[in-house]
Amino acid sequence: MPEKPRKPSGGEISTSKGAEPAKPVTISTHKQLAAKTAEIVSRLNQDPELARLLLVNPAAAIQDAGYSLSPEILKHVLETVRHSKVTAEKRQGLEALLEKEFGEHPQPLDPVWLKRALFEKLKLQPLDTAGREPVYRNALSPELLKRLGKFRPSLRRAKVATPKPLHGVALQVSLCHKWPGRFDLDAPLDKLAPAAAPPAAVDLNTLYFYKDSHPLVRSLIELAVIQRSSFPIHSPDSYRKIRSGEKPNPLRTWVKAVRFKQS
Amino acid sequence: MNLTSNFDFAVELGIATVKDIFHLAFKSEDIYPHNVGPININLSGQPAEIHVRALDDETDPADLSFQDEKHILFSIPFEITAQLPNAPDPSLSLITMKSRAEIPGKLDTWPEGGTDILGINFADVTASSVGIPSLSGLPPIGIANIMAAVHSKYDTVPHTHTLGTNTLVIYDDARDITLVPDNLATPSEIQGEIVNSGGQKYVKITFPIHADVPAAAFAAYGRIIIHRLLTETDTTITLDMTAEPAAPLDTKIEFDTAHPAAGIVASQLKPLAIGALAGFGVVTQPAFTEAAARQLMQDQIAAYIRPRKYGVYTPQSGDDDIPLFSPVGFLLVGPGVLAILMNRRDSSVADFAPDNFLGSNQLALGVGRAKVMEVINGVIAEQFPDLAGGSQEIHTDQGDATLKSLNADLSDPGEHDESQGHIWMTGEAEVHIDCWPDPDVSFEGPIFIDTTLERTDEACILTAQGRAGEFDIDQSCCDVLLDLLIPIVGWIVLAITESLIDSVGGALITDIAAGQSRVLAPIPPIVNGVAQVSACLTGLELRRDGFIFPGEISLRRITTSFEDLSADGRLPRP
Repeated sequence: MPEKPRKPSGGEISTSKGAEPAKPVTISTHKQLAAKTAEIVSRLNQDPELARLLLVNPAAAIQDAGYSLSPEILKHVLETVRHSKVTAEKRQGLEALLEKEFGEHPQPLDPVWLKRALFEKLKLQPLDTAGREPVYRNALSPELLKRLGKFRPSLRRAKVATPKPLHGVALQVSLCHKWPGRFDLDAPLDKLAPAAAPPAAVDLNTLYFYKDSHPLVRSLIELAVIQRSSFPIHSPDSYRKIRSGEKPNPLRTWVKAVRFKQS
Repeated sequence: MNLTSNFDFAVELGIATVKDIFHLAFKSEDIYPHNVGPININLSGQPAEIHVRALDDETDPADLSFQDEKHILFSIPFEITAQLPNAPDPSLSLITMKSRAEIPGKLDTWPEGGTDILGINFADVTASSVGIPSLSGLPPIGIANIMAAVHSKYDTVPHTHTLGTNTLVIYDDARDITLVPDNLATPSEIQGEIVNSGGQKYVKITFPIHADVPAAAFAAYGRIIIHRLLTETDTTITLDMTAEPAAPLDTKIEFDTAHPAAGIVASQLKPLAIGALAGFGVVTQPAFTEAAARQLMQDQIAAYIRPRKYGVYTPQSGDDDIPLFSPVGFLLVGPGVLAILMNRRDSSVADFAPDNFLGSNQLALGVGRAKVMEVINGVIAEQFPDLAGGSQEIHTDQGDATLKSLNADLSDPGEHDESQGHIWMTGEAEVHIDCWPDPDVSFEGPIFIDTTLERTDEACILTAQGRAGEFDIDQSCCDVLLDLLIPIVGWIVLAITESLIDSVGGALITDIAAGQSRVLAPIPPIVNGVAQVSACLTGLELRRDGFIFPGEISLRRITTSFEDLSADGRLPRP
């Protein structure tokens, strides 16, 4: 799609009405952050463009609103937005487990690292996964499927005798977004033939077929899914380019406005 | 674009397909008996046996064109043979005329086997609505035919007439070799010519004779010259041999030999001659002017075609509990498209023609905006039932949110700066973030539906996949959103497509194809018992006014032909 650069929001955010730019308010503790939250929210609400940039990099947006965050608070803000508390804990647990087992920080979204982990660290037998597709969990619950059933007619069967078989259309509609978060890790898999050599790189779809080959593979998949589904926070440099209009905001179409409730 | 007018669903077929159906129907002897007759009628006072033959071959192909919104103009070659056993001129006892007739057939709906079918009905055809752009085989009628009729009539009347001892013999060459004396008259045969007198046409006929009057010692060859009125109408030529005109056209008798009593003999024989020739009676020859012949063709063709009708679109429910709506047809004359509408949504307005959305495709199916939006809103309401109350809690592995609104609308290519038709999603959600006030996020964006087509021997496999537009590929949050939206969009596409197929008379062919899914006939698989339909949907286009499914169609004759048997090696053996 053609890029549609967003107009700059108007330059630096001033925190006072004076001619001199106000000195940023420093926040270095959780207590200070809590005390300033209402004020930060108010400022973001006053600048809808900046509020929208919260989804690009929340820490950078807050800093643009006139606050200087200490490294600890900055990390806290980013992690809070990136994952829910429960997911963050699970991620930390998986990372700790895998780091201990592999002797290095796990990088399950890196196909080269994955290849090394499977075939050098775990010494798994390469499998022929060509043309195979992972099994995905149904995105619609049985109850919902039952309710939605009323929209689909019971098609009548063609009751005709024809000299040649009738040729028609087979309609295949995806009712599931096929992404690793939908991997069915409990689905039984056909036994795959061994491959002569490991693949050049191991993506997540390939990794799926090793889920029953070693207990750690499932952990690798779970960590990969968490990492992949974390909120995508841009680097400060990327944030600055988006804010200045040098680079399009990847959420430019979908996120129309971000607004906080104020008490 | 108006896809379905005041209906939910529309099927559009190109004129080429309509022609194919017509030719297949036309080959069916049950629908179009190609040989009709004998039809016994009275033709210009003559008993006639009429045979009508409809043609459609390489030399004389039948054809059709779209005449107006509700009529197809058929161009059909006909051959009409009239047998007139009593034709005064024997050479005119078998007349074969060929014409090309243009006949308007009405796009109509009628019940058949418990289901309303859409087809062409000729019930309204009258003789005056049948056009005859070409006509051949009409024989010109002239003096030769009249004289042939006279010669023929000669064979049926007495040739020797007596009055007392006097004898009058009338010759016509050697047609009666029993006559005495032999025919030495001049001319030797009956001759005629047309003359005009007093603004009327007469036939001047010369009869060779021999007169024998013993009392006057008179015996001589000679001739009788008469004038008889010739009356022509659009359908006949009548020669009244019984009416003697006044002088100077009255009957004259001449002799070859000079004799003192010749004048007296001639005057005395004249009443005998007039009476004898009156025995020829009134000779009426069917003789059609071109206008009259056209009228005859129009009458016969109208009579032939009036009871005929054939189905073009014949949905069969197959289940009494699933009545199908009557198909309503419109012809789009300019682009040559037959539009079939089903499921009337709004009966408060008169039915009207949809736009042409067939394009260059052989087949296209459309679903109207109202129906699509009904399904979209219904599916969203089922997916998020609490939204009606103002908020719907959403829990995912990636986090929680409260959905406050979610709307979907159809959009044309070009809307929202998107070149492709799409579903424009808008909504608002409160995103729950730990240790931070929950922001309300208003969102909007396009959902596209991408399709791919794979062809196998058994079916064409159409795969539809939703895709959120305007996300960069590396935006992982895309997956979370798509995880919510794709199943909804998928169900919408599935529900709309199957409702469409069900409502337009499509059917399930087989349960499993290629181990994946069911094979469906997207439109009725049989047309009128004469053609087997194989159709395929090749894509899906989204428009503000609904969904368009372009497709392909092929027809196969159901009945077995000589060519079929030959191809299969099943020709009868001696």
